[in-house]
Amino acid sequence: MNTENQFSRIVEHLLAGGFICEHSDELAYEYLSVDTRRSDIDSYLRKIGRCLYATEGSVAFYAAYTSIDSNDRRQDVRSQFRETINSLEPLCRWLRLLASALQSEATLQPGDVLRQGELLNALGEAPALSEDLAGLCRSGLFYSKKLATSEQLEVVLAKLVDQGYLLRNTATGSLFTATGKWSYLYDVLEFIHTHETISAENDESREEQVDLPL
Amino acid sequence: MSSTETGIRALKGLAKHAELLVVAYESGSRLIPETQESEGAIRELLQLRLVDRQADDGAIRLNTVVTALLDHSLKTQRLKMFSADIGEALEGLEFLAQRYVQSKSSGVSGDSSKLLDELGGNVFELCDGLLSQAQSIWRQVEGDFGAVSQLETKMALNRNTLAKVNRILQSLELIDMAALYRISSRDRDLRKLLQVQLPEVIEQCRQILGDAIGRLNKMMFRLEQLATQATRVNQLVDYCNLHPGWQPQDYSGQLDVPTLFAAVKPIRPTANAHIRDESMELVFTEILEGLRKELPPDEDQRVEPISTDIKEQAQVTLDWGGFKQVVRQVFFRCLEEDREVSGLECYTSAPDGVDVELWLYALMAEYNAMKEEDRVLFKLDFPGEFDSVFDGNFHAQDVLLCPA
Repeated sequence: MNTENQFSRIVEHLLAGGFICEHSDELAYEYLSVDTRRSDIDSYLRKIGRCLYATEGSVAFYAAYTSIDSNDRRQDVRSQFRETINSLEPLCRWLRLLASALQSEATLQPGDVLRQGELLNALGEAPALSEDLAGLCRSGLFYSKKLATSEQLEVVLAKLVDQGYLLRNTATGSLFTATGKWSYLYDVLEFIHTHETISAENDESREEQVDLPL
Repeated sequence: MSSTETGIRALKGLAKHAELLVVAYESGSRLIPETQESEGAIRELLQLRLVDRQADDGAIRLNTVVTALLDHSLKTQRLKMFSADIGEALEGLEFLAQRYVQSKSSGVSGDSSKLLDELGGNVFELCDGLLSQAQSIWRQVEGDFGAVSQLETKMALNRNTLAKVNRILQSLELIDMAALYRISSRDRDLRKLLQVQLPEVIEQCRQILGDAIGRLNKMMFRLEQLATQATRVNQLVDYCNLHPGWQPQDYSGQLDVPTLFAAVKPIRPTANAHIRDESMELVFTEILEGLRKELPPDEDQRVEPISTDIKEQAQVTLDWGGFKQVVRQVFFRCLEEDREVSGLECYTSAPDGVDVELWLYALMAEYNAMKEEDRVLFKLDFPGEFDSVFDGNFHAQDVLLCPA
């Protein structure tokens, strides 16, 4: 693909709200890893009131507004923000569930590969985790009427693919690769941790619980 | 006062206040606390310029010359503290080198030759020890601490290795190369050993350990990042459990929206032909002409007759594989239990390595391939929904096998 095509493809993808990382689009990510090209894309976006932005460690690139100077744009930002915040809790619950199922201390990282069969087995062996999954599917982002664990898992994975957090391996269909969009979620979590008093209150609550007499 | 007298006075001053100076040196801060007892000593040391009064806070600190003198004197001792092996090996090398120089100057060639051999062996041993230590650390680092999977253990191992590397590097730093150069400067064989071979290995070790430190720091940063991210996720979930319905404040409503929350709303790029645009008329005409001119491609068909003779062939009985057996079991189960069976539900009975799509296709294929009289016993159903945009597409979410 020539440079011009690559340029327009990347710009279109960014304007469509997409995230570019080395796992979702290796060619585009390599293109953006070159300073001059990245600045070309940024300059182009700035002409239409957007700019190129990267998550921590430049794991993924996305487009953001340079300024919120009109009501329409503010409305857009507000609806995007609401979407991000509404999906935050279910995504975190899913990450915790996944880490427990895979017995990993670390949460899902861009580039990690998920095997549907392996997950299903892990959920089958731990009824508590299946219940957590069912809880996850009761409302919000992963809402589904499905009752079987395998179906619920399928719904969650499909939703994550739809939202750009996972890529389905087209050859097998049951293998998924985590994309750089997770790094955006971690950035949001870090931001919230810095600006809200989540951990301190948690600690207080824990202390209170410990002090209660039996 | 002559310069000799001044020198003697300075050395006497050092001896007189030795304890005070060494305590300050050992404290790390190099500061001498000003007390009533030390008042006189400090005055004298200031006169002798062995200590300085700091311009900013007025504290009394050891002079750089005194610090350098103590650094030099304690070098071997500190090297032994950091690494007993290296310290002792170097002491041995210095001793052998001095003996060798002495025996060579006294003309005892047999002794000097033996001493040189022994010295060579010791230098080789020390170099080998240093290199293998550095390489073993590097292998550990490069192997990402082997099979250890727990984040906490990995971080502890990383910290431990980092401390080890720093200790070895400090030991290498404390090797008195000047002393070795001095001893070996007048002898070619000694120079080869102590000015070429040993420094080369030391440099190589520094290089390996320097790289290891870089790698360890990078790894540590990543491990800490992973641990922090996991903590943030858990904190948020715990907090939401304690405060159902919690939401952070509306950052999108602020005057300065953080860039993190200013991600663009997707624009769906669409393109339509300007059919009423007169300037496009020529282009459209050319396209239409091109379409009319396009002739169907000539097909050059060659027919080669195929023999229809059927040779006699032995009958072969094809065995059903395990996969087919399992698929058929689902149909039997449907009949036995006389209820609908979900393809996803019975996926657990699929053989290892068969993914869910393949499994569902196998169920459909079995249904389509069975004899008509068998097929009438079943019915396949595909729960799902039509695509919201391309309503010609139907997204099936499962394959339901029902008794007819």
